[in-house]
Amino acid sequence: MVSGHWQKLRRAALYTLGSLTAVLIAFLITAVFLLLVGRNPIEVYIGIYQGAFGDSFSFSETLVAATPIMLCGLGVAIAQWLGMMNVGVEGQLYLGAIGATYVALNCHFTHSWQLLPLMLVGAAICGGFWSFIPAILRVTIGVSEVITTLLMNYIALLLVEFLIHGPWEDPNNVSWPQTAAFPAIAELPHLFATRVHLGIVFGIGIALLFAFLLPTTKIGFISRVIGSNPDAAEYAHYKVKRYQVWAMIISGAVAALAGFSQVSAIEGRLRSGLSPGYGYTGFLACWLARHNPIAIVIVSILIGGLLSGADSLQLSAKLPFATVNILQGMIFFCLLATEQYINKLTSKSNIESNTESPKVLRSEA
Amino acid sequence: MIIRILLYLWLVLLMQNPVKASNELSGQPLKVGFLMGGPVTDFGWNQSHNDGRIYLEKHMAGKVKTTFAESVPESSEAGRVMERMIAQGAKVIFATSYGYLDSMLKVAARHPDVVFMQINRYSEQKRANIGVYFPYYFEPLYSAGIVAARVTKTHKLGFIVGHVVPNVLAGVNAFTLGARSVNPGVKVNLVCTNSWNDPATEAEATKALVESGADVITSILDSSLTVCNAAAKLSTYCIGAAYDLNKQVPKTWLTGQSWNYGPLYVRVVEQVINGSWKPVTQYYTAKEGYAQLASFGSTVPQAVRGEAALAFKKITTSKVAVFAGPIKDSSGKLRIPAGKTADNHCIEQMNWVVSGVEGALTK
Repeated sequence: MVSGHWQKLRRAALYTLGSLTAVLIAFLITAVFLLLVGRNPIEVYIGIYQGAFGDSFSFSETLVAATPIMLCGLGVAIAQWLGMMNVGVEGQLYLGAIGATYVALNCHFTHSWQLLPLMLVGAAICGGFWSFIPAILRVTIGVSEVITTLLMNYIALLLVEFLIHGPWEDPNNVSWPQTAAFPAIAELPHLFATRVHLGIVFGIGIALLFAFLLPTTKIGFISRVIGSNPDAAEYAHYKVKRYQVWAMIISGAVAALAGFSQVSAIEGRLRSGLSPGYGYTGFLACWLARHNPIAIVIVSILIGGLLSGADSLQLSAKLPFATVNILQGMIFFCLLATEQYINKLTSKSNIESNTESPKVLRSEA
Repeated sequence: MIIRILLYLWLVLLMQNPVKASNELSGQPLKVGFLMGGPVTDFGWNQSHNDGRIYLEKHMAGKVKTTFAESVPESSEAGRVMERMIAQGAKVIFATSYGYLDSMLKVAARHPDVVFMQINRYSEQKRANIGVYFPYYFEPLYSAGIVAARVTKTHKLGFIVGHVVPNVLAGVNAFTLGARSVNPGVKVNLVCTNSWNDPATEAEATKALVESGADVITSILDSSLTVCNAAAKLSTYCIGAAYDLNKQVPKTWLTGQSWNYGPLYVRVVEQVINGSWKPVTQYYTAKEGYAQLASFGSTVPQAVRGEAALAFKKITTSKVAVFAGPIKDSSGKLRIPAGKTADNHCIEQMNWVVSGVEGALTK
C-alpha cells in the first residue's frame, strides 16, 4: 500500500505539473502571436491580471464569471468520477435556466424564500432530466454518452430559442429574443453589494461536499471503484449502471444550477446568449483540475479572471476580442498534448494500480 | 470580526473608483466609450460605428478621447464592460446595439454623472442620464426598393433580417413600399435568422431565397457581406444595409444604405460638453445626412439611378414621406389612413409589415 500511495502522489504531482506546463506553453505561444502584432506580451498579461484581480470591482467580476464555470466544471467532474464523460453541461445549464424561468414566471409567491428554492428544484429537475437521457441510452443500449450529450447541447439551445420566440416571448418587447423580466423576488441574493451572488456559495459548497464525501463514504468508495475499473466493480456485484445513471443525473442537476443562478441573479430573465460557452469552459476547467473538486474551484476562478480580464485587452491594449478565445483554445490544445504525454509516462503505474482494485474488492465481497 | 473589516474595506474600495475618476476630469479630454455588438472589421454596422468613433476623435482632437469594446454580447456582460469603461474615466457611453438597454438601465442608476446613449430602442423606463438616438435608415432603403423593382425579372425579392425589431421592420416596409411604388406586382419574401451575425444561416437563407425565385437579395444584419458574397456566387443581385459594399461585390451590387455616423457623434458629444444634452429620444431622419444612399453598382442603368436618386432627394427635402397613407399591412388591415403619415411613435414601435411582404414574420 505504501508504494500505492507513492504512485498516487507521483501521478498527482505529474498531473498538476502537466496542467501548469500546459497553461505556461499556451501563454508562451500566445506571446509569440502578440509579438507578431507588435504588442509587448508581458504588458498584455499584466493587463489581464489587473483586469481580473487588480481591484475589488475586477475581482468581484472575476467571481461572477467563475460561478457558472465552477458549477459546470463540478457537473463534468461528478460524471467523470464514475467513468461517464458529460460534454453536455452547456445544454444542462440551459435546461436549468428553462426550469428556473418556468417557475419564476408561473408560480406566484410573495416571498423570495418561497420562490427561490422552487426555482432551484425546477432547474435541477430539468437539468437532471437532460443528462438522464444520454445516461440511460448509454447503460441500456451502449450509445456513447460523449456524442449524445454533445448533440443535446444544440437541442437545448434551440429549445430556448423556441421558448423565447414562441410561448414565453416578452409581451412588452415582441420579437426581441427574451422572456418577460422576472419578479423582483426571483432574484438570487447578491453578496457585498456587487454582482457576486449566492451561486458561488453553491459552487464552493458542492465542491467541499464532494471533496469530503468521496474519500470517506461507502458510496464514494464504490464510485471511485466504478470510475477506475467498471469491470472490476461489476465483478464485485456493484450496481454499476444504476450508479452511473445517478451520477449523470446529479451531474446535470449541478450544471443546471449554473443556469438557474445566471437567469436569477444576473440576467433577470431567460434570453438567448445566456451562456457564452460556460459549459465548454467548465469542461476545460474540470480537465485542467483533473476532476478534483477543490482544484476545480481554484481553476474556475483563474479562468473567470481570464474571461473578465479580457475586457482590459480591448480597452487598454486595443487588441481584438478574439485574443482571449485564441488563448483559451491554446490552453485546451496544450492540455490535451500534455495529457497524452503524461499518460505515456504513467501508463506503467496505471496498470499496476488497476490490478490493485480487484484485489481489494475481492476481499470485501 | 476580521471578515467584517474586510467587507468594509471592500465597500470603501468600491466607492473610491468613480470619485477618483470625476476628480481627474477637470481640464482633461472627455472620455467617450463605445460598445459594439460585433467585430469592428465586419464591413457593416459595427465598422460604420467605429468609423464614426475615429471621426469623432479626429474631429475633436484634444477635447475627446475614445475607447471601444467590440463583440460585446447583448447580455449582462455589456454591464461589466460599461462599468470598466466608467472605471477608466469614461463620461459618455454609446451603446450601439439594440440589446444593451437592460444592462444600461442598471449601470446608469449607479453612475448618475455619466451620460448614456442607447441606439434604436424605445424604452418605457426613463432615466435622467439615458438618451436614445434613432438614426433612421429606412429612407435610403425606399430608394433601394425602387432599384430592386426596376432590375428584377422574376418580381420576387428576397429580404434577410437578423431580428424583426421595429426599426428593422421599418426598413423592410420602406423597401417594399419603394419597390411597389414603381412595380405594384413585386413580392418581398422576408426571412429572419434570429441573430445579427450568423454567417452560416445567412448564406443558407440566401441560397434558399434564390432557389425560390428571388433575383435581388436585400439584408439588414450586422453586415450584409456574407449575403452579398453568397448572392454573387449565384449571380444574383444584392442590396446592403449599413455599409457600401460596391468594392467587395462589384458585379452584383445594386445599391443600399450606408452610414455616416461621425457627424452624429460629434453633435451629441458637443451637446454633452456645452451642457445642452438632454435625456430624450432623438430621431435623425435622412435629411441630417447620417443615413445615406450607397453608391450604385456598375450594372444599374442610368435611368434607374436617376429615378432612385430623385426619390431619395424628395424624401430628404421633405417633399415626400415614406410612410404616407393609405398603408395596409400584410393582413389587409389599414395601418396608416389616407392623408396621414406615420409619426416617430408609430415607427419606433412598428411591429407589422406592409402588404406585399410574405414569409418569416412569425407573428
